[in-house]
Amino acid sequence: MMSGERFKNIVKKSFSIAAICFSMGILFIGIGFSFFGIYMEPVNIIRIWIGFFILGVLTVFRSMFDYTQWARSKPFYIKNILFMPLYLIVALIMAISIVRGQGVDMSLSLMILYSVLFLIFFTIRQFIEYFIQKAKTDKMNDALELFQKEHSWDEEE
Amino acid sequence: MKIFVKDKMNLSETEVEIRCKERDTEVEAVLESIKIASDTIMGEKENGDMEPVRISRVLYFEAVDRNVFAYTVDDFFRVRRTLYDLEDYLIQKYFVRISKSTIVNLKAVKSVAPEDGRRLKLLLRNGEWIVVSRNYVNDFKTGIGMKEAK
Repeated sequence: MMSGERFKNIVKKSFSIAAICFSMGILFIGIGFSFFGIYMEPVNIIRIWIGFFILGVLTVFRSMFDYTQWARSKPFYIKNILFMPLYLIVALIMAISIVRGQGVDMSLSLMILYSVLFLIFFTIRQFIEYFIQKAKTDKMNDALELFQKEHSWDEEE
Repeated sequence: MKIFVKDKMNLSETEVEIRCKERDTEVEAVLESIKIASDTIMGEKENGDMEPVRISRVLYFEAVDRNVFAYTVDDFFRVRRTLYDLEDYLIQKYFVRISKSTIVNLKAVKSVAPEDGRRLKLLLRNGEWIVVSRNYVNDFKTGIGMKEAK
């Protein structure tokens, strides 16, 4: 049952994650720009903020989606594989607008290639992670089966 | 059959003693009724009707906003108790807390599957999935006998 309180918690948690990522992002971008001695346009800070705000909204939707019975009935890698391209698109749009705002020309095809490679590795990692976790839950299912033999639900019915 | 009810203020819980010549069908029926009564909690339906709910038929209890709901295979009831109140009592009946807001009946769990972020998800008898929070995974394992209780 999705309650008002739960929705509030989802919003709080999602935007807290986005805020932490924003501050870390600003820090790393700042370090990178100072290392190369580039001046950053103030408007880029606003672009980054908007980018992370959109990521926060996306996280709210993801958390709400996680709460549906359809999402719960599917292995977790499906949800991650579904949502990762959306996160990546927002991140890419943000990166492209910042880099172009700095007047630097970048190869779009190269960026798409890196993104596709990232998604392939991400998918493989998700599968590996799932099968490691699945091996652990298989043991739990064995223990559950033993438990159910001793304490059957049917005999209560 | 004679029935005596005595009020004793110093008792911590209600005691029932049956004195009988032999355990015939009448005594067995009384025993069954007492067993059912001790396994029952009052639940409020959506339309406000109060109804006794067999705890052993409850799949899980969930706190939603400031209310606690008991979910059975085909219905749900509002329970006028807090999860904290229910927890100690339910542990004896093979229930275990799996998140801040949920206590599940281990007998109602059909299978376990992995979930993101070191969490688990449980498939219940009614086909519903519920999630075990990371902090409660060990309690669930203890409940099904995979781990020794601390």
